Amino acid sequence: MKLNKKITLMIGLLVLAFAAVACEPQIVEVEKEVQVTVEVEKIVEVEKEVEVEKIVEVEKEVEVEVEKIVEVEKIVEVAVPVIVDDPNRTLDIIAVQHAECAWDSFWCTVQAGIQQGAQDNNVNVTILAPDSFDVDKTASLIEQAVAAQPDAIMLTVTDATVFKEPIQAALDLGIPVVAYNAGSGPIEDGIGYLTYLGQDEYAGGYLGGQRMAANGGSKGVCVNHVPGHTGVAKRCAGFEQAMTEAGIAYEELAINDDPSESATILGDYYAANPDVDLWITMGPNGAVPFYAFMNNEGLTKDDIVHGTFDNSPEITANIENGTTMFGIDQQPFLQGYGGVTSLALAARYGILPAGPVTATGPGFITADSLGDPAGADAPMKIIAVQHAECAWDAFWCVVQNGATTAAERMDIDLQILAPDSFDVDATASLIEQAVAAQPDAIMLTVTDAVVFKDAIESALNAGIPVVAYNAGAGPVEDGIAYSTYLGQDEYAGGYQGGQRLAALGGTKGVCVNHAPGHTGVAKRCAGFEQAMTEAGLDYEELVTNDDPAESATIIGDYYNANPDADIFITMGPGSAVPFYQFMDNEGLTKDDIVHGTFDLSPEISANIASGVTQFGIDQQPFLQGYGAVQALNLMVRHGVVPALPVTPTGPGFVTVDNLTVVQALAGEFR
Amino acid sequence: MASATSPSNFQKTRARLANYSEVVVLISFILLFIIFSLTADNFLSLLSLTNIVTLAAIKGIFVIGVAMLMISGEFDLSVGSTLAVGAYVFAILMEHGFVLGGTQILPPGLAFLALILALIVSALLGLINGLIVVRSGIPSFIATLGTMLAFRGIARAMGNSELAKTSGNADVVRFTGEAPPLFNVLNGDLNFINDLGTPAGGARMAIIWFVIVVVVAVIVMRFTRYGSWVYATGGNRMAALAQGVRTNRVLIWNFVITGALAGLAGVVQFASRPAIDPARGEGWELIAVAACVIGGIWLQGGYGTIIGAAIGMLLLQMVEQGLILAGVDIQLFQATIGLILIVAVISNTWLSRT
Repeated sequence: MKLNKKITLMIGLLVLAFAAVACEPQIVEVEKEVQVTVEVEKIVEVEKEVEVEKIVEVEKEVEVEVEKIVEVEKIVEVAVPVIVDDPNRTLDIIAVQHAECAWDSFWCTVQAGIQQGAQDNNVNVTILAPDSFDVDKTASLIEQAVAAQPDAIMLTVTDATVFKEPIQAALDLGIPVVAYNAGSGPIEDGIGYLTYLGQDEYAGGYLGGQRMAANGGSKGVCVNHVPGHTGVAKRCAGFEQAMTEAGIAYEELAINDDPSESATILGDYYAANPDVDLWITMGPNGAVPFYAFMNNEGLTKDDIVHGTFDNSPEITANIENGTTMFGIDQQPFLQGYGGVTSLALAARYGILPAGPVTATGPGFITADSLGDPAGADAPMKIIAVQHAECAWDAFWCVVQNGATTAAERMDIDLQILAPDSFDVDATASLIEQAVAAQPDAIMLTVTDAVVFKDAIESALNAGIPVVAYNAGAGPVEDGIAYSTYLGQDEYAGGYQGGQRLAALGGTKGVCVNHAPGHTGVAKRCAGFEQAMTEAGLDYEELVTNDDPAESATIIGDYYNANPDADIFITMGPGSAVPFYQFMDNEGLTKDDIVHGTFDLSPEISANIASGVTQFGIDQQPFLQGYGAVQALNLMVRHGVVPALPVTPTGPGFVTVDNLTVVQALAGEFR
Repeated sequence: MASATSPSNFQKTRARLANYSEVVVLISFILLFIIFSLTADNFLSLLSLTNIVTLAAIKGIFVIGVAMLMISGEFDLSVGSTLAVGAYVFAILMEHGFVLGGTQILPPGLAFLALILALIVSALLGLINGLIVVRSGIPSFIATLGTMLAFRGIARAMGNSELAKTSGNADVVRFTGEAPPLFNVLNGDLNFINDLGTPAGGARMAIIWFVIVVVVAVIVMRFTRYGSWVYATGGNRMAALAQGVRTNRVLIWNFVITGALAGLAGVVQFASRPAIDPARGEGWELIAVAACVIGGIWLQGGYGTIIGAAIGMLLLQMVEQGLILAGVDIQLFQATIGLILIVAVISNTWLSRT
């Protein structure tokens, strides 16, 4: 009897101790801190160079557009779409394209993507296209599509000038619009649609160049058969960048449309430059002469490394026999599929694409990837391993809701694993145990790249596709070869935010940083600085700290010393709240300064509503869960791979226009 | 095996089984193993089985210490915190060396010395536990509840100190250099096992260390005078004292051993996942107690075996891996463990009620 009492007591105490451990309030804080270092430790010299070089590159392209920014800003404001009353109902989407499967077989793949996207997202899609290439007819079809008042419209921006008015008519009605396959994005096209889904040409050349340079080389050549073509120029620029970073010499070689003449040009060039060992061609029209040149010279795959854009029977044959390292696919299936998904998310939840261009390519086709995908109806199981969960961290309810919603719609068996408190080691063990289940795919949070490396690599070695979501830095920075990381693009957040604020006018932009040393936050400031520089404004970074009152004083002192500072961006509630305090202290109003911020909080929402704050930048956690499941679904069932190492889920701008929508859906979808 | 046809035979069997405290956990283990083999896909794969043993082995190293302590009638709730401190000592010495007041006293990367110092520090924390319990006479459950919090505080402080050079940022210490050979000795891949299957197995050196610790502990507990003293101390302390067993010394030694093993577990773990954060090992003290209790060790001491505790730990890890493979939500893991714990204790009590 006495014994039993003791045991009961002990078990009771154990339960209490469990409860005490589970309830410890420190945990959330620790989580943040841990994520902080993950990024801090990762600043590698090389990475810095990458960033800087990229910025320069972007700058070149955008310089022309600086004057456009004001105009674009207005358009973007109008383009916040109206969301549907019931997110669970079947949506009606109209797709208008300048060509179709019936008379151009390229479009069969795009349309297959549209149909699959419709099925996976509970959407009805009507595809409209002229019966031959006809820009004017296509524009009329857009007008007729708008008249049908569908829930959303996707279209090919074959001609931005001709299509501008019909598209604007849709936007004015609050109909969400995305472009696919043809277009240049809302900024370059000057039309405020949400995003353009197509290949990121620069990234294609850059990532291709990295693959080719991985085993060294002495000189890389970009074989350009369409000199003067902007898209192709971007491909060569990306390739050149990769060569430069790898310390390899670079040259561009112009050929033409005549295959035999081009082969001769290649032969002559090679005779004069026998040290060239890395060759990239811009498509079949460059690759076919290249193969002829190799034949003429008696070169084999051991003499040179060859990669190419696009695909053709010749290219496929040469990938199979090892001559060609890869073909870069723009993934037309994803252009159709992704168009439907981004519209469905925008119309249902107000979740907006993170950037003006959503990359569907480069999709690398290699000898390893030429196998057949599982197919649309194949049963599929995903295990998600995350460092936190809805049961004890409300943020994760939105992420998990995104993942489970996608899994239900796509008929995927999703199992979510998480430790019962923040525990990096337990999470790593869960990954190892998830691999043992041999699921079709794994999605996970890379909370600590050092601790998780072995576990993730065991999944990859077992042939299981892996994507990261919410926590991570992408395969390159993390040093782990998973497919992509779905999370906020911090640089783009600062850059796009800076553009929006600069459009309102000012003299000096200040990035208020309460977390100095944090890599992610540093990227935000860098993006903001870039936007200021492009707009011809001064820039300065102001370091505050975790103490709100002290930070308010720091901002006040700075403002008194620099009264010309009139554009402020804050890095989250940690610097936004002191900023509001500072405004109060100084008696400033929204007419005196322009303010935007990262993240959302009740204070920030109130200030967006009152017009003090232009926007809060949302990382869109629902999209992180939904997007991860979708990316794996596309990889396993359809053989479509993520285009970029980082797939941005944010910046999602929350402004006075969509604040009520976001607030209404908060906790479930936002 | 006697049949249970007549009550007397049944009683005899029960009485005989009562001499083997591992019997309940062994039967549970076999039953669960069969159940998972039938219900969970891939449970019998090399990766799944090696995962179970490897993950159980790291925790198992300090479970053995806790088991010895429980047999002598005491608890150590501070093992998780001790583990964190030990791992921090190792991590800091490996990554930064020892810097005091700006002078580099020890250079970074002295792996063997770092290991020894980590073990010494953890053993000292165990000694503190032992001295508090023995000198003050307060129950070890309370005393080590206190040191659990105190040692956790030390771990947090170390992570945030100048020693760790992490000021102003998170308290995580990572080893960023080239892994020294000692890391492979501590917790490298056992490729001769892992290469036997596809996908490759997850066996690590931790298994070897676990086996060594178990074997040594079994020998000590069964064949040495010290082992008898431990049982006597836990069984009837007054009688043991009367027979000349220096029970206080036994207790202090057991606390020291537990601390050192916790430190070893922390170092072994760090060798394969070279980053340590202040939350490391939180909640593991209860996993250790659960493993011991499921393994047939009495809470009041004097009864139970090392083998039982080791099987208990393997069982816990098998349940986690098995439930994941069965596609069960992880939340049910704790509920299952709780149920197994209660059933095991009831069964053990029933068996020993002779």
